[in-house]
Amino acid sequence: MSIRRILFWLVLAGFTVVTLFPFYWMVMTAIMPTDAILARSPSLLPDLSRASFAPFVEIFVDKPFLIWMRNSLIVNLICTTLSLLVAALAGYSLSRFTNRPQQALGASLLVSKLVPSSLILIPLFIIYSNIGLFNTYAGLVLANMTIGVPLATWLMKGFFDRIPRELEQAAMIDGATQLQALRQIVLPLARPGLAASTVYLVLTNWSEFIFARTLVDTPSRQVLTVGMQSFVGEQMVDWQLLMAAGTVSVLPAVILFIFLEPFLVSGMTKGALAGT
Amino acid sequence: MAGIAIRDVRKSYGSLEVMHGVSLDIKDGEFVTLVGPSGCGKSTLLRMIAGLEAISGGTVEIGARVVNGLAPKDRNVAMVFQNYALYPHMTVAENMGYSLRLKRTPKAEYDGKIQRVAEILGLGELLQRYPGQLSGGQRQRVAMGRAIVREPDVFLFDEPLSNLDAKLRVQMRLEIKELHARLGTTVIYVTHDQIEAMTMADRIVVMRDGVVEQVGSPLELYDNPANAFVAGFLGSPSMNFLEGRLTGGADQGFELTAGTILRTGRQMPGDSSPALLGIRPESIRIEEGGTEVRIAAIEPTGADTHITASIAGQHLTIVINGRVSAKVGETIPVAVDPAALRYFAPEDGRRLA
Amino acid sequence: MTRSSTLSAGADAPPLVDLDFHKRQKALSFALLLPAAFAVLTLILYPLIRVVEISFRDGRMMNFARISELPLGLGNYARVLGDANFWNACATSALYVTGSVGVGFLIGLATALLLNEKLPGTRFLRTLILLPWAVPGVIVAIMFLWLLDSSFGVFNAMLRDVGLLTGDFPWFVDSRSALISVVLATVWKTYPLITLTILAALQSVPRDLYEAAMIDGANRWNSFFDITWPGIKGPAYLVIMISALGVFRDIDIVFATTNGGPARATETLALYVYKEAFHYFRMGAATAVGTLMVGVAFFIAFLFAGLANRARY
Repeated sequence: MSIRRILFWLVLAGFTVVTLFPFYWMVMTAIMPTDAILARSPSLLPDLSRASFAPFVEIFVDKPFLIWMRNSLIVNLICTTLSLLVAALAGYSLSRFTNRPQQALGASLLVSKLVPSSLILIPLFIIYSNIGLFNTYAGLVLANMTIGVPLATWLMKGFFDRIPRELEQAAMIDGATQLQALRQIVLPLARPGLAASTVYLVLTNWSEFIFARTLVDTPSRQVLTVGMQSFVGEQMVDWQLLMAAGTVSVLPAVILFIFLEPFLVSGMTKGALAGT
Repeated sequence: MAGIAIRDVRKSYGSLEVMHGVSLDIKDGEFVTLVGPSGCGKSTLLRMIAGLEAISGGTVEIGARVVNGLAPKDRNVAMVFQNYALYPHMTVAENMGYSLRLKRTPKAEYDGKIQRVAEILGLGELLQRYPGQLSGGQRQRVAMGRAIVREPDVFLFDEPLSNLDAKLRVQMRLEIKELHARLGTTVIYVTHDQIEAMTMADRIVVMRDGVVEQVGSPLELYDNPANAFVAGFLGSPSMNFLEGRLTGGADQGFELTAGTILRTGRQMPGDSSPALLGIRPESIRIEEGGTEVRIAAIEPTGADTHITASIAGQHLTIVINGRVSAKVGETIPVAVDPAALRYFAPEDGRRLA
Repeated sequence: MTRSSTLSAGADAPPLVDLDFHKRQKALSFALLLPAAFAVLTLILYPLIRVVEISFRDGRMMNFARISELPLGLGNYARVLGDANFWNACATSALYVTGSVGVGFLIGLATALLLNEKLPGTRFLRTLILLPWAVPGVIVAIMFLWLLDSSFGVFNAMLRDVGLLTGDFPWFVDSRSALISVVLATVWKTYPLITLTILAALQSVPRDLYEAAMIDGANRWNSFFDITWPGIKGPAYLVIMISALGVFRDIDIVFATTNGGPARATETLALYVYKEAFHYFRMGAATAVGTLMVGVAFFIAFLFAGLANRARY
């Protein structure tokens, strides 16, 4: 390896270390005793023999962490399922047909990507107050769909675009109806796309904050991100507990990401970008 | 089995008409090629017959049954696509058997049919493979196998050989011909390759810009093209077109623009009007006392020699059987067989004589 | 050849009885769109129309059910355009977006170029570098609040260790550094997507172009500007646009770190909209700003889409 390549590698490793440092410090804060971290000059490489996992138990005891997680999970699963269903059908139609209705929907989906959540929140808030969706899972699911449906529809369109239409045509000539061709030929081939879109939707819904914070105010219906943020508002922030909670809430997303990264990469670069 | 009748078929996208009333009768068991440059509408016509494309006007009949509104599956046709369109998640056997599965064919019959077709095409060893594991030629065979298993009234081929290398293409050409002879099913074969069209077809349909230019047997079209387009499209190297003027009377020639007269040894139709003279490269021979032309390039192909010559500022391709001793830059005397000359109108290419 | 009768039942019936196949196909294509169309109409387009409508309702109404009874007028726009805080938010948004996306793009480009060098272990490093993208904005905010904490933050500890700082410095609370701190957190979350997109674009630049350029005597600098950049600028413009729109729209990080403070130093337009609506309950002013924002976003997206499109050829 030439000197230049070694230098490149070191720079890249440096970037990686800096990028990963916030994760590292979050975990250290969570597992190390308070005096090792909450110091004027904490050691960057604390003595791991003093590590304790007690804070991870504490967050479940001291805080309604389990309830937040459950709420996040419920909203996430329902919203992901619904968005995916709606998006897969529409994505297929957008990929295969370009009549007026398809063009109109495509344009509306693009416009929706320009709208800030904090803005669409205003009419949703007013409408929800009128029809009793305020403080409900259903309301939150629908609000999250304003992000999920456009995102997943474009992703799915991108994936369907990569399945040659000749395959369905061959199937229809072989004697299949359009629906049989869709079920037996297209859907099996769209599985990687469905997987990628699912992960995307799960991650996006997992991150969602401002809808949940505004459209739900009953503590027992709060989701994880809102709960986490409420930590910060307290008089004395218990950083150790907060970082333990942070670690636990990031973990599912990170694991999902590491295992499905290849899928995501192809989806992100081809589907997501093509759609915007 | 079935013949096909196409009556004044039109295709338009919105207000843009791309096919302007095509009519065609194809007899049962006939092998017909649709040929023309890209964008001429040949594939669109094929796809309308298959039911993959809506028919904007006119009717398509398969076996005396109007199929305009029928789904592809109800037309009993089989199609081989340019990129083969094999189902990537199914094995070769499953690909070929998909149509049988949709018809809920009993297991024994299913297996028997696939075995038989696999044998015909030499695919026996590959039945459990997936398309991704096959070579281009093997995929092509599977695509044909899938079509044969269907036992259709009509085979539709959409440029099936264009993704194969030259050698394989020649071999598959023969195999498709043999299959046709064996099965006797009507074939409509789309290609942009005039050699494929010439060698395979009982009849050729030459299309351009959504219109049928001429229909006929390969040699009919070759010898008696209806216009300069058909004349130029069929044949390789393609026909020479010389601009000039017909000279009546004693000259018995064709006056090229520069004033040179090409002796044609025959009384011309009409007189003194501008025309395009079409000469097939192989109907020109080197002959003492003929018109002198200057050699610009010589390309020996082994069996033949292709000479590019210039005469009065125009290019002339000549194919000589065998070898030629002349060199580039020299002049040679050439003569043409008067019966092989064709005259076209310069403004629209229509045939004059 | 023996032929079983393979005509299906439908074909035996007179062909005119059933509906034209191509019309059925078209109908199906519309049916597939219906759920999405319904969702978009009720959840996005109708609310957007309400946004515009409310922005033209003058006066204030605490009973939101009756907000449409207010008279129409341009009062909200007049109010907002005369509000110094609105203009402050515009400037803050501009700084926040250009800062975050600008720095994010430079880091993204650098990491993508390095990852593209096929160094040992890059496959693994790529996954690690992309991780921040998967972290929810609120958690990003919390992580950085802690890293940059005035007394016990590890960043200040490091500064103290090298002698750049004595005592404390409240990064998110000091008006001089608050915006920079927010930008830092945003860059951390934003740059992985840029890295990924540019890396994918880099990998699609044909190798032989570089070989040709080397034969032509190009140095690394030439080959970057003459081959690499033209090859990746389309995707680069697109990802810049997407990231910029994202940073422009989202309020999670700002909300959870500074909530716009100190003294509105980090109050972006999106946050301004949120606060007008849900702290002061001035729905009219909020929607007026929102309408203007969508208009600007539309314009910018249009501009960049044009750039990206042109870069394709």
